[in-house]
Amino acid sequence: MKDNRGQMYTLEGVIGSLVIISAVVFAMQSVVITPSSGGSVGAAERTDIRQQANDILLLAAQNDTFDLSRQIRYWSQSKRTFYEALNPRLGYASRRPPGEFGRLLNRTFGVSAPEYNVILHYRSRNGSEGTNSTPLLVQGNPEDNAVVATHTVTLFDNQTLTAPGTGGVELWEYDTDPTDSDDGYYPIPDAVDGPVYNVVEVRLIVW
Amino acid sequence: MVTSRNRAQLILIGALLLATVIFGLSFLLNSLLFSSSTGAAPTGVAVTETTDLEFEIQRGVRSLGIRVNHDSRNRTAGEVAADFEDNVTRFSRLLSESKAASESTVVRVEYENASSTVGSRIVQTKDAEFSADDNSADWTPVPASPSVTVGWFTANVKLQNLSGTNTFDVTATNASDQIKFELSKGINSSNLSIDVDGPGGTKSVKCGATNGRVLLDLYGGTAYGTSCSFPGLRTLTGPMSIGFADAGVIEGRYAIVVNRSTSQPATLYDVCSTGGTPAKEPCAAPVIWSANVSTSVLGDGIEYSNAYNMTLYRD
Repeated sequence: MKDNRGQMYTLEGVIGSLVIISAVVFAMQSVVITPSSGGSVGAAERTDIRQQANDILLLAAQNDTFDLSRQIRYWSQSKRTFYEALNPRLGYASRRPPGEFGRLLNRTFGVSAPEYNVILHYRSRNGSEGTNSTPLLVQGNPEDNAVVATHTVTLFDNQTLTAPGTGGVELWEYDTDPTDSDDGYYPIPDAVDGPVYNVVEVRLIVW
Repeated sequence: MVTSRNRAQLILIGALLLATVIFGLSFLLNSLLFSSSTGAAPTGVAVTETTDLEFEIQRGVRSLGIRVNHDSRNRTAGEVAADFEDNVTRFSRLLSESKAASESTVVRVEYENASSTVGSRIVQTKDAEFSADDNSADWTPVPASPSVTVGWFTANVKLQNLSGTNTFDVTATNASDQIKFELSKGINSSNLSIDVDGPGGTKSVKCGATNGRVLLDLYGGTAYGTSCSFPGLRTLTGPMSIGFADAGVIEGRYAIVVNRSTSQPATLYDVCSTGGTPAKEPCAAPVIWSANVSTSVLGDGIEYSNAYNMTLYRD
């Protein structure tokens, strides 16, 4: 009889501990499965990142020494991408772009480690082919919940490229066809008649 | 009296109660987290984006206006206004197409000529000495007047022909202060020397030439294409006069933009576009000094319109 009671105590103790362990495991799983789990970004966090991305673009656009317009014209004729960028497909990739824009990107997102792309979208010549794009900085493929911030920059015909060694050639003088670049190559074309050259949307995508 | 058997049942009941509490807390915590992240997004982001767009529109229109103003000297005020309006329409269409492609946002920018104001560009477009049209070397391109404001002064200097011994002096004076620029070139020097004496003290800089020329922004205090910078006319506020001394020792082109008053500078200079014959330089060409511009933005969750009168010069 005493042996049976002992077995019963053991059995009930085991059942009790299993119940508690199950509850604890369930609670831990519940806490992990939040809207921001699995590396995805929650709505509040997305709002914060979007605000940060917008602030970066605005501050970079207002910089006195190297604003976004200068960044867009920081083009290397020999490498056919931005000056000191990695290659035409990835742009600066993991390298830091020059000036205030690069410094702000690095300081804001370099530590918290989200990835980001910066793509330039602009109108085709005379708007006939809609919008084209050139990568300024590509770090990867954005996730579904990526945050997008944009800033528009107006270029003018008589502006020049800002990379070292590009001289005083005005934007309208460059070829925009990479296969016919006798006069140098710059991918953004003259979209309209008159002093305005093109309107470039700088798109910062963070995820 | 509690028997051993009852104690075992108490352990089981206690475990069940503890498990229930843990279940309950986890549900509660989960729902709190979920609620906090599904609340409405703040409107601050949308406001920031429209501020961005407004900033870029104003900057774009201002840059566009200056380029239209300085495109040609042989136009009437009406022709300059029509030109500006055409270009603002093109800019608006381009901007709208760009925004519609990415954000389904419609942007419209319009120029209202009726409430805009006209100024004058005192300009010498051909390389010559900076002397007056009667060949006076000491003269006052912008006489003192309580209603004349200067917003632009650029000089494209041909360095080769600048005197190596004498300086060309530009003196600007407002109600309380004065700033003086002395331009010279050292013997066998390839640099333009600028000595500035103004409210902030004195400063001397040397600006390098490109193809034998130095393009100076005396208003902003820079030389284009170089890192050369110095205090400019903008350090003086309010109406001011501008005087030249020894204008025969310098050669090049220049342009000064002022808001037009009733008597100045129209009576001091020939109008550049008179009768199709080249006017004697320097002459006065009309410019849009301040532009009345309206913007409207219609997009996802955003709808607003704004009208403002922006001065194209003196930013």
